[in-house]
Amino acid sequence: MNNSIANRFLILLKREMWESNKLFIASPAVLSGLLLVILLWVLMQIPSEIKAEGVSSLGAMIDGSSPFDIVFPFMPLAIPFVVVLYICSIIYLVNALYHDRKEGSVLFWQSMPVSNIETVLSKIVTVSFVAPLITAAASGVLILFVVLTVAVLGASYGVESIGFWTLLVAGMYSVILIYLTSVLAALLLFPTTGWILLFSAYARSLPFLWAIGGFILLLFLEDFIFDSQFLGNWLQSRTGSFDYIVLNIGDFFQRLFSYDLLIGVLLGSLLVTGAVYMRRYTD
Amino acid sequence: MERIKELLLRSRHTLLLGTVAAYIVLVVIEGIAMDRDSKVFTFENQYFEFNATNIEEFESRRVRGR
Repeated sequence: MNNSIANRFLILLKREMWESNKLFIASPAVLSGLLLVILLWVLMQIPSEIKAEGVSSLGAMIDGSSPFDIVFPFMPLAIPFVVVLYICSIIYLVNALYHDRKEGSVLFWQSMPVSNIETVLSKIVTVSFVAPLITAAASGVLILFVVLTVAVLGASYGVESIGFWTLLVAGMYSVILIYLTSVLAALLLFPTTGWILLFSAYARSLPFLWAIGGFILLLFLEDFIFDSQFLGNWLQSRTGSFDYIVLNIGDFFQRLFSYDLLIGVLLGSLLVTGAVYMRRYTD
Repeated sequence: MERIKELLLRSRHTLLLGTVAAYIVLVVIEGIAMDRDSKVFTFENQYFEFNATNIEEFESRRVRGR
């Protein structure tokens, strides 16, 4: 029984990836290719003296360090990928439940032995855990390229402190941290996920404007009527960019059970429950 | 409980209003419990001061300053 539920859920996840492959597979892959070309082009433009100087100063910086302490050159490479992931996630969530109703396929899915809660959960798992995995893998390709380039340059300029294996371990550890950072961000922003899903299930047209407009209207009404800004403060509590960056695995688990994350998941679950019940209204 | 559920599920609009209202109530309770400051849009520098919750005082100071 449990096995059949797991299989069904796996099929739902596959369906999400098939339907959103452009957002979650093609976008990071294209970005990875584009950045590889740009890096190669930049590398060819830099004079060899500057390259030698850069490699030797990098060698001096990482000399004797553990691979787990030298993630700083690799982590910034993931910034464009994380930005693209955020944009793609918003587009995906806005259309996640709206598109099914618009094209009428919600009736087909409701005739299948799949409950509304499973459908909505598959969308949440896709955006919170599966999409970050692809993003981390795409940034991993770029990091691998940088590792190879730095190792080759280090060998050709005789900088012995830059060892290939040290760099490779540091690069792969960075990929894990990029994944954990993306997952942590998805969990901290879970109320936003629930909010967009609720309006995606509700709106007959323009779900994005409904979600954004509804929140701005509530912010205004709270300030205007009650002269308070609890909603604004709640929003502010989740906008510190350093809250999302994971620099070691222990740090991730510490934040995973933090109050801010757990209360966010709890309140987000309320909105997700609303979105699940909203699925019964199929226009 | 059944009555509340029936009321909420009467239409898509009641469900949306109910969910959003419950969410806001919980956010406010959490804000009060955690003693989150009810911050206002304040803007301060040595030449200019503005507090959105105290427009009257800003007006009167502006008139006095003329």
